[in-house]
Amino acid sequence: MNDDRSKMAGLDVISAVVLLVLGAAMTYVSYTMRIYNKSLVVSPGLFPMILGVLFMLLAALLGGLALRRGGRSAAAGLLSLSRLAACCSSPTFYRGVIVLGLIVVYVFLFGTIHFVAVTFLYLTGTFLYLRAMRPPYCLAVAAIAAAVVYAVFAYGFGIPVPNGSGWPFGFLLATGA
Amino acid sequence: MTEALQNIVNHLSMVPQSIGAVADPWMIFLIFGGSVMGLLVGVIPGLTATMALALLINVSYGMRLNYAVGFLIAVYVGATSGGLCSAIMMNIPGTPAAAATAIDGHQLARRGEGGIAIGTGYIASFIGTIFSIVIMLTMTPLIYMIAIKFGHWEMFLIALFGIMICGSLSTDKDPLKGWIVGFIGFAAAMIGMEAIYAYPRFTMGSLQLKGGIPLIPCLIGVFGISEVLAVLQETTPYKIDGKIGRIIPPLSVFKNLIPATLRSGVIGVIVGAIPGAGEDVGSWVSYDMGRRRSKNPKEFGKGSLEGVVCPEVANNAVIGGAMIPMLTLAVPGSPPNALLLAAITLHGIKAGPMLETENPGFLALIAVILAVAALAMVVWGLLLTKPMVAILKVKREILLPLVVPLTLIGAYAGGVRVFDVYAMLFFGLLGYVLRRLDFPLAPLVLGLILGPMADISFRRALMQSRSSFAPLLERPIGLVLIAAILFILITGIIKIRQYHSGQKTLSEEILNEVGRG
Repeated sequence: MNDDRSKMAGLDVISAVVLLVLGAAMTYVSYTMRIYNKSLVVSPGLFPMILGVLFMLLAALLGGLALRRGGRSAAAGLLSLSRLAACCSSPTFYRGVIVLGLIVVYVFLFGTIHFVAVTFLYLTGTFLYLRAMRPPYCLAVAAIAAAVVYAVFAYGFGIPVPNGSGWPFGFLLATGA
Repeated sequence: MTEALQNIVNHLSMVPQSIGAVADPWMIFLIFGGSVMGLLVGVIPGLTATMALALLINVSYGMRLNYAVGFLIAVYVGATSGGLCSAIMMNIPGTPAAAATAIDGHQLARRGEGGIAIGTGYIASFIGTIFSIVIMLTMTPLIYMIAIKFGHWEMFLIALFGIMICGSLSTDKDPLKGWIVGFIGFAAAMIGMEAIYAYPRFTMGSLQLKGGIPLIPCLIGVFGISEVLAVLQETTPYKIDGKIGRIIPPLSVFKNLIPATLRSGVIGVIVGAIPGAGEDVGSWVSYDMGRRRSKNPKEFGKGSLEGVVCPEVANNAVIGGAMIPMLTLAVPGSPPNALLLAAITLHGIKAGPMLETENPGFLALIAVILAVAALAMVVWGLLLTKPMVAILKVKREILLPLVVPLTLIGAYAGGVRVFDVYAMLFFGLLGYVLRRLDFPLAPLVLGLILGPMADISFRRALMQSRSSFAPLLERPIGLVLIAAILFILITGIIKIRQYHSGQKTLSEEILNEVGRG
């Protein structure tokens, strides 16, 4: 419990620094926005500028409270090379990164490759990595799920689903099949 | 007074007409279909009612307004109730709203009375929804009468009030984090062309960003992708404890619990009407109050049916309560409510003070749909308890990846732009990081929705008053709102101090007192 709170204090210090930078950047960009009718009060930059200043104040408060709970040493500990290495080698982190990586690849191929093909690839990859089922079942479930989702949404509900450039079913589209 | 009563009667008189609109076979089919889909999503641990709506919102794109509203409300009611199944059978709440239910429900399951607990939970959820409909039908017309008098100052203060109270109540830990996330939502809503001078803000030259941050893809990312990532990192396999046994509870259960049911209904509606507080807050507060007021407080934590009834009545009563600010002020009462608001906006309904004039029968329609959805939920819940427990045996490694394609379609189909899918991914990652850093997500969503209203109302108010704040002091509603914001700020600061001095949160305190700390 205390360990968790100390770790959270370290994370709060890091969050406060990020928020402070965000607030400062937002204030500066808002300040450089065009001023209409010679009045900042009604100009587009006013509200974001207030938010930027507010972020800096809230960051100071968050950081200050975290520092009082020993956040400085906890943050230094979290950012130490040994801790980062330990974190990166933990199975949970590894699993999270791979699952996220598969989703990122899926998102970037979405719209480029036909929905059924890219969904089949994503599901197969994820099932195999997570060892959800035996490999033949992974392939079968991925294929059925991709086809069913496409059919239900594209034909059942009439919702636009990206066909990409048609690949790898372009030959079917080209021949009108 | 007479005017207020007249307004309530006017709205009630539209109920028969709405019954006619809902008594359409296709509508009934959609409500019952939506309800079973909601229950199925809700039953899976980690998948919340917000996630259910995020996944199924795309199904409603091609539907007529009434059908879309009927379908989505049924999903909402079903998913809110569905979480009790896994909470009781596995001690893992299907949704955060069912976390308090797990305390006593799981003890009952271990004694072989899981079925009775589940059946009681579904019936309690039904009662909670119906109770909230009655309050919604009587309170909403009254709020409309006040909301119609709102000017730019009041709208700005309402947005600020929403963020402050949501930030304060959406987490039982540190309100400061809730406020920060709410203002991050405000900041994200500033991206794109602003509405007064059409000046592009924070677009970095991107044509896509000029249109602003797409709301629905962001909501899908925050609640869909981030949940998938969080749940898939867990590796502990699910384990079902105890037998289901009989499902329909004896009538005497509810006869003895009438005061607890009514009290939980009131708590649920009040919590629901507070912007962003949500179903989970309602169920914890109701459980705590139930335990304090019960004739048998020692039974709580050891398998008391009252301990199942209190949170289940309250978390469903939140639904009707949350509709009140959503319909009258366009301020969602809970995260799933935010998605519902986005969906009805997409279908051309503009929630807010003018809704009563522009769509006079909409409140009655929502009430009738909620009632039928509650009926569908209790029927499916009691009929499908055993198959739903069987679903819990399917590994999360199979179910969760199947959710991802649905989130992508949901994000893409609204604007038919791949950019929206990238926005969804970005907000999914942001949501995941915020979750890991213990920041609540509900204020982020509320900030995204209320940000444009706050910005425009604030600047227009200043334009009207020639940059002076003095007119604000002449507005009674504005002064009440300022007092409310100051009150939230002061109580929030006290809560922050208590949290940082190591005081336990409400859920920690309850779990500790019932011996599960």
